[in-house]
Amino acid sequence: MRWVNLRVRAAVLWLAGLVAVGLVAGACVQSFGGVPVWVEGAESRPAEPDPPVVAPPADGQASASVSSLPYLALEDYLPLVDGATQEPVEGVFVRTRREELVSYPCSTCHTEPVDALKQASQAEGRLAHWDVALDHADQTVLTCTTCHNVDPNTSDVDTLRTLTGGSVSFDASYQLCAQCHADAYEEWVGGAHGKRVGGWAPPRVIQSCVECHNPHQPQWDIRWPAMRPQQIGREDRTMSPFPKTQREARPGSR
Amino acid sequence: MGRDKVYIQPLPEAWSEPGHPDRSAGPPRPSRGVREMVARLLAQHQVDDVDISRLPADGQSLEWSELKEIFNLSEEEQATAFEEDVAPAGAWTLAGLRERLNRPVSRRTAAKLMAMGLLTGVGFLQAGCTPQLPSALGGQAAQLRLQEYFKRNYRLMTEEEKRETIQRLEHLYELETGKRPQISSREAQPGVLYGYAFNISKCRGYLECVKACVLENNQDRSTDIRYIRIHEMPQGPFDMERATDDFYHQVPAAGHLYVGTQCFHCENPPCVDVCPVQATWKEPDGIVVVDYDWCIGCRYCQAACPYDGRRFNWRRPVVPVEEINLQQHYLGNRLRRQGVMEKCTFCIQRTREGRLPACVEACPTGARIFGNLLDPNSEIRWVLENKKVFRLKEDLGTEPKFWYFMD
Amino acid sequence: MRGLVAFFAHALDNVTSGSLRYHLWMGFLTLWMVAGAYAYSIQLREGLIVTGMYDYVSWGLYISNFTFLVGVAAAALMLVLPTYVFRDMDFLRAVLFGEGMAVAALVMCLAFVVVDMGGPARLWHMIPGIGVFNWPRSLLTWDVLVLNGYLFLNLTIPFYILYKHYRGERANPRVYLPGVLLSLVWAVSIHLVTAFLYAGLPARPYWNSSLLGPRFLASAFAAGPALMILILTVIHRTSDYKVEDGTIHKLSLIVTGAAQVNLIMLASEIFKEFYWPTAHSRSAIYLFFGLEGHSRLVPWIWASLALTVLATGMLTLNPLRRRRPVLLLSCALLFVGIWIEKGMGLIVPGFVPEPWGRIFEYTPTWVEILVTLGIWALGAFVFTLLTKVAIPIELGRMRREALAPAGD
Repeated sequence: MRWVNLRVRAAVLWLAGLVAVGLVAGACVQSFGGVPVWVEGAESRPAEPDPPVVAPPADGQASASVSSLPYLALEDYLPLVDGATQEPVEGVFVRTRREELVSYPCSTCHTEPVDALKQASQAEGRLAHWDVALDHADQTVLTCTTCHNVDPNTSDVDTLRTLTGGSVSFDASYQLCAQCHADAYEEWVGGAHGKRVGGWAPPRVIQSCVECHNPHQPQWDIRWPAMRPQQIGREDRTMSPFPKTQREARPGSR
Repeated sequence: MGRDKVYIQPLPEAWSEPGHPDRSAGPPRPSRGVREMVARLLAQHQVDDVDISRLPADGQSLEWSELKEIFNLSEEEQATAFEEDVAPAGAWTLAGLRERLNRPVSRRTAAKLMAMGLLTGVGFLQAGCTPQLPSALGGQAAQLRLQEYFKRNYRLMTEEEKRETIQRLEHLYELETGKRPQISSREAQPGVLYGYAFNISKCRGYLECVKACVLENNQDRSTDIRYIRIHEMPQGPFDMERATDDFYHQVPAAGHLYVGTQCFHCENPPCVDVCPVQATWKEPDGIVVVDYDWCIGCRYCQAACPYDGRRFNWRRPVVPVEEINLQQHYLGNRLRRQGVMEKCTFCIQRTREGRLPACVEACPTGARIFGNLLDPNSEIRWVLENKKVFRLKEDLGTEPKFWYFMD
Repeated sequence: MRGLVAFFAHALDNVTSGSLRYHLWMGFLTLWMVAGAYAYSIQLREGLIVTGMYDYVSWGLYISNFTFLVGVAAAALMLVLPTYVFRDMDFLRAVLFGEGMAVAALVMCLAFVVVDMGGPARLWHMIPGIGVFNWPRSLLTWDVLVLNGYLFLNLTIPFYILYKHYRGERANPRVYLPGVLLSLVWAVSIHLVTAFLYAGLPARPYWNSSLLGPRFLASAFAAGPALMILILTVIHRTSDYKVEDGTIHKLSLIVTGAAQVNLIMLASEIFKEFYWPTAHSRSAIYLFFGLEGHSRLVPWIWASLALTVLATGMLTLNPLRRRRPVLLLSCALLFVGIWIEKGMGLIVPGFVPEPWGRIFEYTPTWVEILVTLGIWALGAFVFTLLTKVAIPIELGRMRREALAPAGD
């Protein structure tokens, strides 16, 4: 038959076929052995260690329930106490705040009434609490003394002051907020407002109001987003098979 | 094409030799496999004027003219190979072409040309494979990859098989990146069903969640895979079609609200039903997961998802080595490969350990609520019982476990 | 067994020799296949990012062609039914080519599915036993079953008949008729199942329509036989195998009827989408009129509509259809029109706008186009090989006795 009679055709076919097979096979090998991760300076790889012979113990799988406790080891928290009833709310804890305050206890400086302190510091040319600008509601509604005990003669300056003159620990400042923001407080206790510490599993420890809201300026920032919009897929890739990975810096970015 | 360089390289012996040192470092080796084939072919047809030993060594290339010289092509043979035009005048007519094609050729010439074709073809083949050969197919990594290729669907694996594949993967990633991840296979806890709520009056479009998600889940940076999309919607009717997700200006913009979407982990997930190989499924704790090594990349699930919840690796994922999150889960954030589907897993590597998903932890405004739907004291349950909640496209009957609410 | 080996050797001998025109044609197809292989090698290496597809429009040219070609494959039914069931002898000389066309179309379908895969090397995961076959939940597994089954039927039935003829015997209807009857049901099912593949997705309202399946069938029974008419004409002119006018005439009637039904269904779809457009009509609006300044598909669909209407009109008028050049022209127009409509007009708008209403347009890249052309060349290659063997057998030139033991 004709196959015995070798022709140039056969040689050409060989070549074309092999080129095609080679291209596809080469690409197959590459995609099969693909390195999924970009390695900067791939040549400086560590020596290959022997695979571990002993399987790692499947620890933690035995415990049936999940707990947030491991993630709360470094946190300080107290039970949430409702301001109106002075009863702890079951199963809810609030992260404490006092140890994070910079100038605490207040009584270190506030040994006299505020007016006396003010006169003394003005005479010496010192500024106290210069970084605090009160922008919370209206000045006619709310001033420093609405929330702060300032007279050591009549009250405990190391606590906060309720509208009725009671005192509240700095760790329970939420009781103060709850006086006006009753709805937000309710949602915060329930779980629709605020943030948790640790994990989703019990015990439930939540952040105090002031961890997100500066009590002196409770408004939120207007700021730039943390990421630029996604570009790929929006650009026209008709002409080039390879996407642009370098993106132009946009004006106005920080 | 004949003038192109021809690469001649041996068939890689390294395939069968585990622990073979990096080939590029070793001395040049004679081309064994192909050479033998060529020698056999030439001997078969009594061609004796070709000195095969003159073929260059491993990894070297040669010009067409050199190849011609080695093969000792005579004038007549060259003509047959279209080297010169010896056909009658007006050669490029049909008749001329016919003459060309039907010109009788001696056995010897044909054998030579076939051998040259063989060499060129194999050269192309190997040139195609070479960039990956030394590292990808040499030594341990190749063996591990081969074993990985033949493993089973994760759900069918025995505990033993799971342990083995995780060991292999950890080792393989270490070989590739120099860092050894910890891949967990922790299973769903009884009495846990995850749910998620999103407060559209709290979200301010800061995209901190997106950033945390990308970092936590080792997402490809080159195609910018993002599980979360934040849609900026002008106030007015709540209609997702009025929203855009490509904003880049100071946020929140006046008169706009922000709606985040991601995989909703439906109770009736259409994506799971359509997968032809069951590479995606719903775990007992409600998380819809993908077995990345079982996925064949048909993207039927992407077409079936009404929520734009699935992302495909359209190219080889790129994750800077120093940014790799080493705390991984087999069904979660372990490194993916080209051509497979991935998606939000509620950060399975975190949530199975009791932690919050990265997006929830990162959100500065507390717009994201996550928890156990089966725990009556959980925040998510409080939201569902006390707030007015809604879900998107409820008419489709997919029962998403992702609710929206307002203050 | 030995007879089979001899048959294949004979067939191989047959397909490797031929006129210059034959060799040029095969060389031309090989060139496109090699070009397609080159493009595919790029796609394998770089990933599907080199196509125009992305998360928003995640199926494109490949799946479009796949969908269309399933229809072409199913159209063999329109030749098989009259021949074997109604015993219409006019169709007898065309039916083998119909089945050959089905085989070629199915080969192309499978190729289009494979090139669309992100991990073609892991396709074995689908094989029951060693892999997981999500049947019956996933419509894709149904499609795999019916396509491969149909391919099997269309390979074995003509093979049996041809082999019998090759040995100079009569094909026994008792052997092949059950297969033929099965293939009739099967032909309908391949296209219906493919339609259900899309219609079963509530996420894509454009596809989620009960008319999709019937409309697939109607357009397939128009486009497939239209292609058959063109192919038969080419065979008639280029080989000694003569196709009678009666065959072409009857085929053209089938094309006409199917094209008319197709138009009626198109009209009802257009009515439903545009009389009272809902949120679910946005894909159709995008397709026909463009949406928010995006109108890349508008010229295509109107061209398709014009071609289909024009061709159906020409076919409907008796005096026009009877004239061979007009018939061939209308068949070509109809084929192209339905290809556009099933391809770019069906798959792509399903993804536009995407689930949240954002609009991302799709245009195939040169890699995709080259791969697609390569696969079409592969289909033509397969079909030519099949006919190259079938014609001499049917003409009585290729017979076992003719095979001289000494060769040539």
